[in-house]
Amino acid sequence: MDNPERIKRPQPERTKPNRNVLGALGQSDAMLGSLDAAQSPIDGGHPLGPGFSDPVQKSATYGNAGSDPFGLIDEGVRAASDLVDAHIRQGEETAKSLGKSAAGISLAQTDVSGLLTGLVRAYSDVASVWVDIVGSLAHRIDGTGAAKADPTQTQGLISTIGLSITSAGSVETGIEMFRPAMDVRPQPLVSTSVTPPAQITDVAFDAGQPGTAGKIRVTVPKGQTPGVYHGLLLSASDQTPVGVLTLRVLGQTPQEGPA
Amino acid sequence: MVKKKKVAIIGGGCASVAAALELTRAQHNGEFEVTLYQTGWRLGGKGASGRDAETGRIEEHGLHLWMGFYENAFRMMRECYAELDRPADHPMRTWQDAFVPDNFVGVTEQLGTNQWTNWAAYFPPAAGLPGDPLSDRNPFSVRGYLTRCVLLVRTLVLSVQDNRAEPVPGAGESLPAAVSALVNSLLHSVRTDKKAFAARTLKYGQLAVGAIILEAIKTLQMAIDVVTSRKEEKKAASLLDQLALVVKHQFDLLIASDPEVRRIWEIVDVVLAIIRGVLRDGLLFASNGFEAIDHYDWREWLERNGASKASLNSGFIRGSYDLLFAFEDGNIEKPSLAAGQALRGALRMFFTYRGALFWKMQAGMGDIVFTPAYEVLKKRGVKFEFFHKLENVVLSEDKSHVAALDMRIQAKTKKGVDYDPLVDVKGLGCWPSRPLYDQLANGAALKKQDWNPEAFGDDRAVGSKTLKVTEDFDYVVLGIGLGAVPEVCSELIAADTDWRQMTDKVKSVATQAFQVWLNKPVEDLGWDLPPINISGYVEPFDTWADMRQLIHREDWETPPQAIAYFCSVLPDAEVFEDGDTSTPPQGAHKLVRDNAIQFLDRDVGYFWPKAVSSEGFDWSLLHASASEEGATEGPDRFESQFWTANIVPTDRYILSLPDTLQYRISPLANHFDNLTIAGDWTDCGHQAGCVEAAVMSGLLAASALSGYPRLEHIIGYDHP
Ligand SMILES: Cc1cc2nc3c(=O)[nH]c(=O)nc-3n(C[C@H](O)[C@H](O)[C@H](O)COP(=O)(O)OP(=O)(O)OC[C@H]3O[C@@H](n4cnc5c(N)ncnc54)[C@H](O)[C@@H]3O)c2cc1C
Repeated sequence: MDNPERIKRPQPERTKPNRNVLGALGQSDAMLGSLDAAQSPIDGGHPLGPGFSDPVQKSATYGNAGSDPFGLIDEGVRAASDLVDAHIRQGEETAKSLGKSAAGISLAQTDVSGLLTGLVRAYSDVASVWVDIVGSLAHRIDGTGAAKADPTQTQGLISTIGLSITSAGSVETGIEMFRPAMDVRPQPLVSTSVTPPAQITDVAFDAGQPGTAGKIRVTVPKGQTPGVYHGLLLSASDQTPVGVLTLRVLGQTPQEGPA
Repeated sequence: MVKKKKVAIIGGGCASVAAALELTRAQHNGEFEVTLYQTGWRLGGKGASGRDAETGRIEEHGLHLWMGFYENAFRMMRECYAELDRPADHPMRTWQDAFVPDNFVGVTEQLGTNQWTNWAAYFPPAAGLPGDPLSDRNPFSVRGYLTRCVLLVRTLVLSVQDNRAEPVPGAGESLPAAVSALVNSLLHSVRTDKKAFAARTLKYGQLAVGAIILEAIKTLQMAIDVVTSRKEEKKAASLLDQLALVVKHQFDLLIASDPEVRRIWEIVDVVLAIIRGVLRDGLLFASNGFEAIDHYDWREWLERNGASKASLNSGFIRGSYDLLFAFEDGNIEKPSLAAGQALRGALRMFFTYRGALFWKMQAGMGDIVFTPAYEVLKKRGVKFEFFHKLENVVLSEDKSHVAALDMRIQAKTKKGVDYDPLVDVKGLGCWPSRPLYDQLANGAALKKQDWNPEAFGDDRAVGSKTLKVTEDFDYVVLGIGLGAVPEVCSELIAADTDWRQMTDKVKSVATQAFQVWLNKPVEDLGWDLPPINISGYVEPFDTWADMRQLIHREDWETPPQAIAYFCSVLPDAEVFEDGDTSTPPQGAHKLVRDNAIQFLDRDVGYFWPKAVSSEGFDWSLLHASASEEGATEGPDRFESQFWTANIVPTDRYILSLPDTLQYRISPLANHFDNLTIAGDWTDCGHQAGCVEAAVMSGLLAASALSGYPRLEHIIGYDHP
């Protein structure tokens, strides 16, 4: 018989660390600040440049790989992009399967989009530094710069975008382009770091006059929950990610400890 | 009014203390009434230290270093020191008086048979201090690590060619700057030997190109693995293999020709293997994080992912086994370390440290950690029951909860007053190295027989006590070392399969340590690197730490000129018969003494060439107390120094062996509804034998009973 006065432990909310994919991407942007600066490519422009969207002719290029070491370095750059592409696809699958209520948790469409943004950012970060290593070495060796963007290939492509923000409170923003695109379609901005997850939906792309950089216009509603919001920039033609818009709505962080 | 909940905490190590500090936070409004029961006379467990009555010298279980990523442990200590608010003239007023940054890591590496070399790697200060508030939520992620790994490789490979890079103080915020400082320290001799410089530069250029070519080949192979069918993969891979072989041969020649080139390459090689492995094993997406690879041994996993044999045997990798005593049964032929935890530890250690990679305590660990914790807890009303040894945890009939705790009382105080455990050494409250016999009933006799209540097999009893549920406690926090669990928890083990598996599978190891006080500075003995903690050297003592900072904290009539600590595993086979580690063995103390003497005679000359001659170690260098001075000559003089065989079950160091970590039980898991566990042996998010793991476990135990701290506030708990 149980003693009526005896008290039992409360039920914990969980008994295991939370190491799912959200945890894997949970890097604070503040912590990465200094790294981001170091990642910027030597020659300006994103090191993934146009080469990133070039389809790799696998059988042909692999066959040639051994003929000259510098060709091999080029190969390394492309293989890394290719590998990263494959991983992004794997990430998309993971995100989508999470959306289909994996492990009993059903994620809303907005969460999936947030997850995708995170995944793509993670891979593009790693890829960009990796490609940068190989590219900058090649650049040192032959003085040309394998990672350098070829201006003739970028005509008509959008590689930089302006930003116009309407907000009652303070915000910080940044746009990271993974590769140039013909047309950009921004997605709503989502934050998974706030509870409950919040969104900023008033996000639109204005292509502007031919020859001028386009602009993304964002309106942050009054009282928007403070936190970091991400939104993918998709290529309008093939719906693949070409960049990411990050926006931090500033505010107080909650106090720790028992009430 | 909320009913007070009585908590019995058993044991006074880092984990128990962390749980007690959490449960007695002001925010709980006194909801938890805590009593801590402890064998013997002191808190600290594996981290306990004592002061010798005559010289005030510090005597430890072994070398204890804190790492710059111990966020939870530092936060705990910073709160203790802040709460104590010690007066301005106190020798350890603030936590920064108590812990001092140390930026050098020393590694010893073998060049050939009986040929060794040392190097001191400099890790520049990193932004912030351990325990500072984090700017955002849990910041440790695979994504961040991969980025840092790749950056590290890039900077290492490129910076070996850059002769202008000098250590930049305070450059820690930027990884490239930090790496160039590290590289500089590795290239110590190159930087000072200008003549050899030009030739070397050329070699480094070759290294960089070679590294990239090799890596490109491996990347291609991986791309093939990922995107093509098995058939094609084989065809292409064999071509690549041939290519790789040719390049690798050239490369091996280059590396073999120069130890410094090799050093850099070994780090690059290991980091590349990590990047490859993380991507290949899909660790970004594994729902259990790095645990997904915990069935591999660390070296085995690195090798699977392309690390070379030489890199696997490099000083850094060997050092990681030494630092975690990672030798099954203490057998140095059986190094074994779960890959996932090793990876987590390495990434946390090198990429998330704040302030410095290592922090050194400025007195004994007891004085620096357990004195302030004791003082704070005492002030908050925690009751301490010293000389209480838990003998049996009694379950209720239905096996649902702990019904009683049987305690043996080892000693009583003279007038039944509370035992007052601290002594003053130069203004600092310290734990003595033996009980304060004067306070104990029958104290004179106990002193005469040098009674040690922590000794293996001590069975002195002056009484017993049975604590009963609801009367004496509502909740139990079991904070004893894992080695002691089978003996006192037989009912729990019989009743619960998980408990049985945990006690079967999670292993521990005995350790040995000795300390010497010298009457000459180590520089006079031929040591020419900075004061150092160095590992990777020969057994029986693979790790040496220069502890000169303690000289002025001890209380010698004539102070020594140097203090050195040595530490390593102690093989079970040399101590215990038939592998039975639960029965007190004979002769372990003498064995460690003999090991130490042999080490000083035979091996220490490598660090201190001028301390040995053809006759062996110069025993007159050993510094003795006034009462012992002149009493002994030759190796017998070692009697005046300190050594220990840590063989008592609760003191055994917890191993992180492959394929065992899944058997650990979390303090959050509810197997018996009024019990939680705390210790570095539990499933606490960081499965290694270290202070941070123990503290995290204590926080989880407190959370299990009170809901606080919230799990996301235990830093690194949700770390992949
Ligand atoms: C030689 C050595 C060197 C180390 N070096 C480092 C280092 O440099 N850095 C680092 O971070 N970590 C180091 N560690 C590990 C670190 O010391 C431990 O991880 C940590 O102290 C464990 O704390 P704990 O609370 O889990 O257990 P313990 O410290 O073992 O505490 C258990 C407590 O329970 C008590 N107890 C046991 N049985 C009973 C009983 N029956 N009744 C009542 N009380 C009982 C014990 O006396 C003790 O107070 C080292 C360990 C060793 C052995």
